Amino acid sequence: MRIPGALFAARGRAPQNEKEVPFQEILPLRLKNTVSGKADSGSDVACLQEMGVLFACLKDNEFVEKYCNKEINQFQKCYKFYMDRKFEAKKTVNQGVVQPGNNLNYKQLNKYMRRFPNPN
Amino acid sequence: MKMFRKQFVHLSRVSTHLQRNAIAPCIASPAAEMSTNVAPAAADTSSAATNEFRTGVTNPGEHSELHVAKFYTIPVEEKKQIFSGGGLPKQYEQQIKTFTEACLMVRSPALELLQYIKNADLTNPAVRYVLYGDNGVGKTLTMAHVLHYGALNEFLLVHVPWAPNWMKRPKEAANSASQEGFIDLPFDAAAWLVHFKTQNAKLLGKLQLKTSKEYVWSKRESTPAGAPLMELVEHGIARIKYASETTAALLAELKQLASARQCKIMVAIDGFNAFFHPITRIFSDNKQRVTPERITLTQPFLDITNYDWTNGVCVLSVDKIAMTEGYMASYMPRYLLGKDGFEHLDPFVPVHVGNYTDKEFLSYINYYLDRHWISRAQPGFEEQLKFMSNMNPYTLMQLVRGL
Amino acid sequence: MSMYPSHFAEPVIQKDSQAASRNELAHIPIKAATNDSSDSIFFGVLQNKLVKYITKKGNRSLANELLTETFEIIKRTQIERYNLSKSDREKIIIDAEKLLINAIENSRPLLQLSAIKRGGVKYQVPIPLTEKKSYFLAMKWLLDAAREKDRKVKLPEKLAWEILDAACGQGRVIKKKDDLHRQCESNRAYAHYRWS
Repeated sequence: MRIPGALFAARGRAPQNEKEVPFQEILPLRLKNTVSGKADSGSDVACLQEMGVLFACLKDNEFVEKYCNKEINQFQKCYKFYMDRKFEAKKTVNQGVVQPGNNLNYKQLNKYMRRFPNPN
Repeated sequence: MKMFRKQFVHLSRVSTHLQRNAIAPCIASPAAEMSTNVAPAAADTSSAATNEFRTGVTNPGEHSELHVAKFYTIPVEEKKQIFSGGGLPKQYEQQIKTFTEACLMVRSPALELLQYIKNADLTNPAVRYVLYGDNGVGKTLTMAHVLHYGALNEFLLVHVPWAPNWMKRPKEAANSASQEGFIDLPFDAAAWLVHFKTQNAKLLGKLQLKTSKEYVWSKRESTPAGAPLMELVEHGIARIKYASETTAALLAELKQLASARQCKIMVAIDGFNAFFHPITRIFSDNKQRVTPERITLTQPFLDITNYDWTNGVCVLSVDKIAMTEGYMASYMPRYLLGKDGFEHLDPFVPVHVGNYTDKEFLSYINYYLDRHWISRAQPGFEEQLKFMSNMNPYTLMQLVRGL
Repeated sequence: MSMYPSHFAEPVIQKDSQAASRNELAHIPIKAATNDSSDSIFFGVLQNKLVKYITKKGNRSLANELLTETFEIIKRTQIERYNLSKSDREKIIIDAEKLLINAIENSRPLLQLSAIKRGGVKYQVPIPLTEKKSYFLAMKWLLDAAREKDRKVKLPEKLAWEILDAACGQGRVIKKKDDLHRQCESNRAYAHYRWS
C-alpha cells in the first residue's frame, strides 16, 4: 500500500547525509599556470586632444591645410609616436624577457609562472 | 610596327585644358630653384642663334660641313608652304608645335645629298638618289631638308609624303573608268594634287607652264592644249572623279616640260618601295587583293622616277615600315625594292642614313635642354640615354618623352 | 609577407649612396633588389609605385607606357604655358615627376572614416592614417578620377589633367580629400569610440 506524501510533508524534507554525498571536482581546485593576454591590448584611442585641435583649426580655416601646418604636424607626430610605442611594446612583449619587478606583462608572467607551476 | 607611326591626337585637347585652367598658372610651389639646375634653360631666343648647337643660316643651300650637328630654323612661311600637306612625321610636327619653332638638324646624309644635287649636271638624265637606313634614323627628315633646298632653289616639287598610305589605307578605292581592271584612288589623288598645289603655287604662277596637248575627260569636260598647268591641277581637285587621271597627265606634262628646259623638277617620294610591294590592302571587285601596279597612281610615279627625262632629280627613300609583315627582314634597297624595283631604279645613288654621331647626339641633348624638354638633368644622364637609345634618333625621342 | 627573415637589410639601389652604407651593411645579409628598381634616370620611387597601381592584369609595360605618355602630356602643357606666360616664368614647373609628387602630396588625406559597431549602431569614426596608407589613398584617388572619363579620352590625358589640377591645389581629388576631412570633422564626436 502506498503511503500518501502528505504524511511526510508535515515533518519537512530530511537533510541529506553529508557522508553519503560524493565530492565532484568539476574544475581543478587550484589556479592555472597561465594568464590570458586579453587585458593587455588596451584601448586604441589616442591623440584625441590633438585631433580636436586639428578639427578646430580646419574648421576655422575652411579646410585649407596650408594654414594648419602646425596642428597637422603635431597630430601626425602624436599618432606616429603612439604607433611607435605600440610597436615597441609589442616587440618587448614578444621578446618576453623576465625581469624582477611587479609590473609584468602577460608573456613575462606566463614565463615566470611556468617556472613555478602549481603542484599537481 | 604600327606603333612606329603612332599618331598622337591629344595635343588639341591639351590646349583646351590649358584654357580651362588659365587662371591657375600657380603650378609651382616651393621650387623656383629647380629650374636653375637645367643649365642652358636661361638662353632666350635672341641669343639662340649664336648657341653652339644652332646656326643662323636658314638656307639649306649654304649649309656645309661647318654646320653639321647644328640646328637651323625653317621659317614659318616656308614650313607652311612645303610641309602643310605632310612631309614631317606626326610626332615631329607635335614637337615643333611644343617647341614653337621648326628646327631641323643639319646632318651629313642631307649634306651629301645636297652636294650631289648642287653638282649634278641637269642636262643629263635625271639621277635617282635612294635614301636607306634602319627604322627611325631620320630618312624622312633628311628628305625634308632636301625638299627645303628644292623649294628655295626653284625646283618644282613632286613630293609624296608617304606612298604606303595609298597602298595600306586609301580613303576610297574605285574602279578606274579609263583603264580596265585598274583601281582608282580618287580622294588620295586629289589630296596629292592639293599638296602639289600648295607646294608649287608660287613657282607655277611665275613659270607660266602650259599643257602640250588637249585632255578630254568626258564629253563636256576637257582641258585644251596651251592651258596653264594650274588649270589642270584645279580641275583634278574640283572633279575628284578624274583626280587620278589628272595626276597622270600632270606628271607626264611635267616630264615633258622639264625635258624642254622650262622648269626643273625635284621628285621626292617617301616609302618608294611601297610601289613594289607584292600586294596592297585594297580589294578588287572579286574580293582579291590588288597588286600595286593595278593602281592607276602607280604608273605615273614610276614613270617620273625613270631616267628618260632631264632637268630633274629624284630623291627616293626606301623604308622597312613601308612594307608589311614578313617583308621587313632588312633595310637594304635591294631587299626592299625587290628585283623589279631594283631594276627599275638601277643605276641609282644610294645614300645611307645612320644613327647619330656623338656630336649630333650631344647637340640634340643640348637642344632638348634648351627647349626644357628634358627637365630632370641628373649628372650622367647623357651617358644613360646614349646607351639606351644606341643613338637612334627615334628611340632617343621616345626615351626622352617621360624625362 | 616577406620571404626574408626580419634581420635582412633593404638593398641600396642608388649607386651614389651605396658607398655611405657600405661599412654598416658589410656583414649583414641583404635582400635581393627587386627587378623593377634601377639606378637610372627613369626611376622614381613614387613613380614606380604609381605604375604598380595603374597596372591591370599584370601588364606592367603598358602601365609604364601610360605613365610616360602622361608625363609627356604634362610636359607639353607646361611648356606651352611657359611659352605663353611673359612674366614669372621661373615659377612654372616643367618637371613632370616633380608635379606628380606635388600632386600626390597635396591630395594626401590626414584622417579616414571607419565604421565601428557600438550597441547595434554603426558609427563612422574618424581615425588617423599612417603615412603609407595616405600615399596609397592619394594615388588611388588620382587614378580613380582619371579612370572616370569618356570612352574616347585616353587615360594618360585625363591623368595628366588630374595631376596638373591636384598639383596646384584644385580639382576633383583635392575636393574629395576636403570632403573626407569635412565628414571627419562632423563625426568628431565619435572619435573616442575607436578601439582595435
